[in-house]
Amino acid sequence: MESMQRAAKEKSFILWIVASVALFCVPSFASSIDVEHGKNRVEIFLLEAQNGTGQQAFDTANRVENYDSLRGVASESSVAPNTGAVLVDAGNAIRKVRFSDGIRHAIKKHVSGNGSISLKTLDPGGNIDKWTAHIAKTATSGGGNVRTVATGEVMEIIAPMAREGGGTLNIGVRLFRATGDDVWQLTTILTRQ
Amino acid sequence: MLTSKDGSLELKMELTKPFEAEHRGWISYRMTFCRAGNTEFVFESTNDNPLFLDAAIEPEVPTICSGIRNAIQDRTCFAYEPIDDRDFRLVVDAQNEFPLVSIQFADVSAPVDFRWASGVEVTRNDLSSFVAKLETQFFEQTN
Repeated sequence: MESMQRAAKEKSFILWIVASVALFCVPSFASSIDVEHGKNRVEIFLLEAQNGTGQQAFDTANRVENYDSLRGVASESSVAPNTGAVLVDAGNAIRKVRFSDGIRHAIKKHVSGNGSISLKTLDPGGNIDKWTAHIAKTATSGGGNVRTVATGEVMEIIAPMAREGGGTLNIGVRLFRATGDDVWQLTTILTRQ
Repeated sequence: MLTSKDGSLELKMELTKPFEAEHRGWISYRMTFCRAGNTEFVFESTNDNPLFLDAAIEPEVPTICSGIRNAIQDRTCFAYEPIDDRDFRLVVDAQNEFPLVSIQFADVSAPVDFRWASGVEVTRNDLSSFVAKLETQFFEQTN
């Protein structure tokens, strides 16, 4: 029973994080690169996150025609500056990002679990809205060094996130883009930086 | 199995490919450390800290294997930390006749007097054999 409840909680959390990231992409199906729209989307998302209107984000995502709930495509962009770890600016150009198939364990390990490198432990007082917003914003608009690998490109982006208890945490993402694909995949979250 | 030069310590590394689609592209691992034939310490996944190595984008096991192999051949050092998210740090110092292998863990406390933390001497042949078996295990699991 406990494991079923835990599974249900995990499922609802994953749905929420997918829906939250998906909010970025609402206008992205119709247009290509549009920095101003991107900025607005990030701001709307952050506003909703601050207001704790997660259900609203979820409902919005569900209304998106052709939305792929399993992949959660989010946002589009030009490639961000190649400057290594940078502070994320909501006004930056943004890129298309979707969750990779194997992201689930990373969410448990780095966000929702009780382990030492989970945001739940690292940022007591913080909440899923805040962490999701940071992860989504970093993935879609942060800049990092791009490395070529056998099947495409890998980029790691680290950005400081304010900690509720004071100070900052360097939280990041690892992205992969297959050769010929214009959408990046969020493959894992980095919390030990 | 990697055995210390004096035969008292053993390291076994097991790879398991998860069946679940949600772990696609990753391979799970577990390290078992034995001393004098008895299990001294097991480094394995927990509910809150699943341990995975990338098996698709930048396959980590082949990277580790080739790194160690090169270190043995060139008499150099090789260090590695997993991509997700530095759960351990492996260092192989093969500059001397008997390579020194050290493994430290980021989040878990190894037993007091855990000799792998400071480095354990192994033979070149045994280290090469360990690497070959690890690589075989990886390809069996992923193909």
